[in-house]
Amino acid sequence: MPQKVSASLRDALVGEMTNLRAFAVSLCGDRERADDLVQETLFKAWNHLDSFREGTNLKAWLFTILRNTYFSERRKRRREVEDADGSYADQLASRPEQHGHMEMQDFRAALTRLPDDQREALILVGAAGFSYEEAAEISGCAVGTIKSRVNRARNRLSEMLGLDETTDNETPLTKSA
Amino acid sequence: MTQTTAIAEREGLQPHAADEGLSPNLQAHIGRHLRAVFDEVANEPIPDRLLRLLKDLERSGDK
Repeated sequence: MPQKVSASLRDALVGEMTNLRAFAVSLCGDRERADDLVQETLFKAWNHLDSFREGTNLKAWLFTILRNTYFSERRKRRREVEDADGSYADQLASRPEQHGHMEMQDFRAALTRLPDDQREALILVGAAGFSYEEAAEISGCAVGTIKSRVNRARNRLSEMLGLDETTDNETPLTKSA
Repeated sequence: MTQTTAIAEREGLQPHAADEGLSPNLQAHIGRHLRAVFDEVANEPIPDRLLRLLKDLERSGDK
């Protein structure tokens, strides 16, 4: 049901859009699909603003809507497309983002190959700035589960990327020019 | 037994292989790349199609 939204809430919503997009792109690895996800999230959020209590965590609320949308779509797709190797993630990984240098492309591809739940936990805690407790609430699971997923995600990435203790940790990731 | 160990065992995984933290150095390496992926998008302007949707939603609320 469309409704009148207070200017402050509208501004707060707009303020979270860039983070929401970053979450969507990191989660699904595909910009176009990510913007579809954000669009759907925005639409749902707008129409359910009455269930959001102003003064509580808007960012977490929006992230929850987005991840629920993503995961229910994934479940539907998985039922529809039972491909031989059963992995939609592999498809995504085979067409990585076209920009950024080699190291970042490798990292993006590895991130896409993580199991969904591990990738989600890692992004929420490691990039989006949520605490383990907030991440658990967003994902609807126990704090211990989030911690375990984050550790597994890191271990798996380290394996895929062949990281070891001699790995360079100093060189800036973005070109300065 | 910790909860994470219990989960790993239930799933038949070696707890130390799956659940134990990486060294701080490797954690930092992964964290840096992860934030770079995230921030690259977060620093982009909001695409027009999303701004248009927002306008449409506001307009529908005015009626």
